[in-house]
Amino acid sequence: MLLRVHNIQRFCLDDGPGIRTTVFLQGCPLRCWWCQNPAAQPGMHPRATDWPIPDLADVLERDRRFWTPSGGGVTASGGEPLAQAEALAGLLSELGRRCVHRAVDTSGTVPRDDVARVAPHADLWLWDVKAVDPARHHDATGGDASLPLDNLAWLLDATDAAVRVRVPLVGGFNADAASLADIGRWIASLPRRVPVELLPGHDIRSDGASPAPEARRAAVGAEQVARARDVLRASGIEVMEPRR
Amino acid sequence: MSIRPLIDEAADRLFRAEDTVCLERARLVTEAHRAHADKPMPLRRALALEHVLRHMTLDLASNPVLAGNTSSRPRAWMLIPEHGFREDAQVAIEHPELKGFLDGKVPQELVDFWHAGDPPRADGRAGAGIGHLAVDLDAVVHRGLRSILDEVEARRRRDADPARTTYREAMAVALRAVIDWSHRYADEAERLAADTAREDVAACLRRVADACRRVPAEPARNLFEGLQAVALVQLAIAIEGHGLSVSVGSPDRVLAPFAPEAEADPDGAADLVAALVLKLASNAIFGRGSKTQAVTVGGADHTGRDCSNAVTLAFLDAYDRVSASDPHLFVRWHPGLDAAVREKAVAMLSRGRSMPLLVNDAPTAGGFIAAGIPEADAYEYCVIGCNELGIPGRMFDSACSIGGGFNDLALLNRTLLALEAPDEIADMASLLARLEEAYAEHFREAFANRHRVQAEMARRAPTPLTTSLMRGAAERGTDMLQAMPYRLPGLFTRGLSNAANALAAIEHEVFTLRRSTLGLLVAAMRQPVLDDALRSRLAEAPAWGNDDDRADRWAVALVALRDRAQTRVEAAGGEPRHAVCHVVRSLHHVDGRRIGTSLDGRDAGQPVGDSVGALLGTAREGPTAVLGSVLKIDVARHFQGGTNLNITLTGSQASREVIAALVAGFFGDGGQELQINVLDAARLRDARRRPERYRDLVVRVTGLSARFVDLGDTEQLELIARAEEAARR
Repeated sequence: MLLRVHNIQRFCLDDGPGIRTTVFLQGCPLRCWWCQNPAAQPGMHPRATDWPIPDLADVLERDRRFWTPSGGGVTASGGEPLAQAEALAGLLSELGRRCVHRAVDTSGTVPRDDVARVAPHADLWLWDVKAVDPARHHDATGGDASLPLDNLAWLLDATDAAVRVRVPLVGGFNADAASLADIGRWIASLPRRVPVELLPGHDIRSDGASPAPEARRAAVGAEQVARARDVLRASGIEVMEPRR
Repeated sequence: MSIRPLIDEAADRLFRAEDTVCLERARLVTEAHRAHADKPMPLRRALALEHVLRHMTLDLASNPVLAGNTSSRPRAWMLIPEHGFREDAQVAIEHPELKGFLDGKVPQELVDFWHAGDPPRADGRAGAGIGHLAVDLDAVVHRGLRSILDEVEARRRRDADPARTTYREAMAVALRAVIDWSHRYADEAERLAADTAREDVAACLRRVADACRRVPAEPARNLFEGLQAVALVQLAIAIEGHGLSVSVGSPDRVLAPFAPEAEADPDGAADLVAALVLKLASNAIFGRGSKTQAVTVGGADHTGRDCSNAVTLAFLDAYDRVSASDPHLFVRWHPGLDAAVREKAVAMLSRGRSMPLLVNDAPTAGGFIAAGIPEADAYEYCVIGCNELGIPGRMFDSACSIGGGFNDLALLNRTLLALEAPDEIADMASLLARLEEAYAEHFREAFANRHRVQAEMARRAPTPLTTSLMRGAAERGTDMLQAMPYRLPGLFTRGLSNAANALAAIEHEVFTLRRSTLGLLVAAMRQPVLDDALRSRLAEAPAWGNDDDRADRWAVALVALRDRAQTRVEAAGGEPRHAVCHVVRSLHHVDGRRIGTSLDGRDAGQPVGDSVGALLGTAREGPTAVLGSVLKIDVARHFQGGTNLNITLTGSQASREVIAALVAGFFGDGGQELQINVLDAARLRDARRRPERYRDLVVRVTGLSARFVDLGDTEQLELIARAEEAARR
């Protein structure tokens, strides 16, 4: 079984606990206008590579020496890693056999079965909640908002998976108080309490290239982030402090 | 009464001082050499030291907490004519404004005297080395100079050999001179205490007077006396005349008996240590360009017992208090290192202090053990320069720069350019065989050169005081250049990263893709600048520092073939084992200027790598991959003299958890040394615009620590480039 990978990045500090190696899988059902990883969209990355699982696990494991002291591991991100759910489950299962901590960074915009297939092999979910209003979500991402929200509610209800909700804070989209209050209320209504992490939109793409002009609008300042944290906390949910 | 205000004032005075020249030592040494021209050199040198210590200005005003100074004012260049009247090439890179600083400042009669040596030396250098040593401070602090002197005298009476008799007489003169010097300070401190209106200053001076009546002649009775003995002896050794630097060794081990005092009053102990650090920072051979005095703390003994104590923490706290860049501070790391020491070191690095530098016990002591040093002494190692290693009081020549330096890239370039028919080289193995011969030839020359220079130094510039503080010196009765308990001459190298990349590029271009020939590549090396198309092709080759075996195996192959060549030449010449040290300070620029265009994509004259890690701009996989590459080299076998390795993190990356994990992961798998800079490019750019706001910003450049605002453009821009590269992760 092969996984289509568009990048592997070591020394990632924002994709879960500790020092991590993040594998960016190719393909994504969404088209967010602020996308920081457009190369992961289908057809956008001619040099994406198909990896056999054992070989990929070998490469991902090269920073193992830094994982034990930092509590780190591997994060599968994308694109949308669940878009290759079967192969991803295979990779995570292999990493599990090697006692590696595994995180999955997902928008959740996939069929329920795909979540269920991967769930037994993930030690931590990093679950994006971009918006709870279906129309706004659809306008901004081209995707159906109910799918990720329902999937997350199911995951928390039907499994004991560890989950961190990540709210990408996007200027001109969800960084206003009303949008954040909606998000906060929705998170507070979930079957289990989950910590929430804010991901401020920034103006550099993960591949270091300059973002498209429209994506620059996504950037938010430190004050906006602090205000967003206050608004979310007002809903009674736990918002994590920034790493540093 | 807290001495903190006095520490702050002394630091301010020192770090604001302009560079000036102090001619006292040069004049006094010259007078003594003239007056005692008829005496044997060791005695002449001892009498010269005595003359200086007897007549030099005692500066208790600029830092009244401890006695001891080399120049009459802080940051005044203490000239060492024996080392030559010149700025060091590296100082001119680090501080371009100091280039030509001495022009017109040295009286012609002094220049003439030293240029007319026997035989005359065009550069005026009369054989002084570069120091890079640490003496047996344990004997200084706990035995006292009087006891050492008594032993020297007793041996002199029992042994009639004329040369040894002379040398022991010289040691006795030098030791007495230091004791008398301490008494001069005692008198001066008493006089000033009576004169000053400030009670805090007077109290300090009275304490100095009491201590200097006792130490370093007699054993120290408390932490203050111990620190005072260390300060006086370190500075006296510097005055004796070692170019560049002398290191303190492991003062926390020496002062361990006084740890309960530091434990009872950690703040007071840190202030006292800060005063010592400032004393040593004022010891200025090249003013603000003075570098590479080293202090080493922490570490285990050979049984694995942690040797850190409350004095270790006092050193870390002291460095946190005064932003001194020299002496630089190393912490010896091992699995049982005290948690408080570990956490303090990590916290300082996380805050962007760029200090302490970290050394890992297992491969470092392991390297000495592999070179034949008994375990108990191997675990007493310390840093004695930028990152060179030694064993205090037991070893001298591991870093005195007389064993010869080499540059892996220069040797590779020389080998390639010497090929008569490059296209007849059928594979990489054939090329490596030629390269191995080039190393062997270089070592034959270097070893012969070492014998010649070492003999010349012993004849022209013996150092009886320093020698008397080495173990067994009284018994041997000869200069440390002629005999020491252990010999492990140093070989100093740079350019490994460049050479590995050049080999990877040759393999990629010529033997894998076959899109070029070796002849064409060698022809390109003869041009001062690489053609853009070729440069892009070379850049496609795998590069060292990305944990990529396709490139890393060339670094591994290089150290292995160098080792074979070295071992072969050592065996053939009956030479001792040499310790190879990857050391840079600013020599990556000095070397680079002499090396032509190279196949790592470097134009002629450009600097070589600034550490044993990835070249600037080639670390595509981030710091963990750099560490992964470096770990492929067996340092205990191939770098028994140490390696310098810089990594740069941004402020947002450098949490304590991340730094602790990088250190644990790297050292846990056998990494030897780690220098962690935490830099943000925007902040550094601001510091260039508004230096007055960043006076305390200490950075690790390569093998040196410096205040960022004191550095010249070359190294400021180099640090900004490194910070920008770190931010791209």
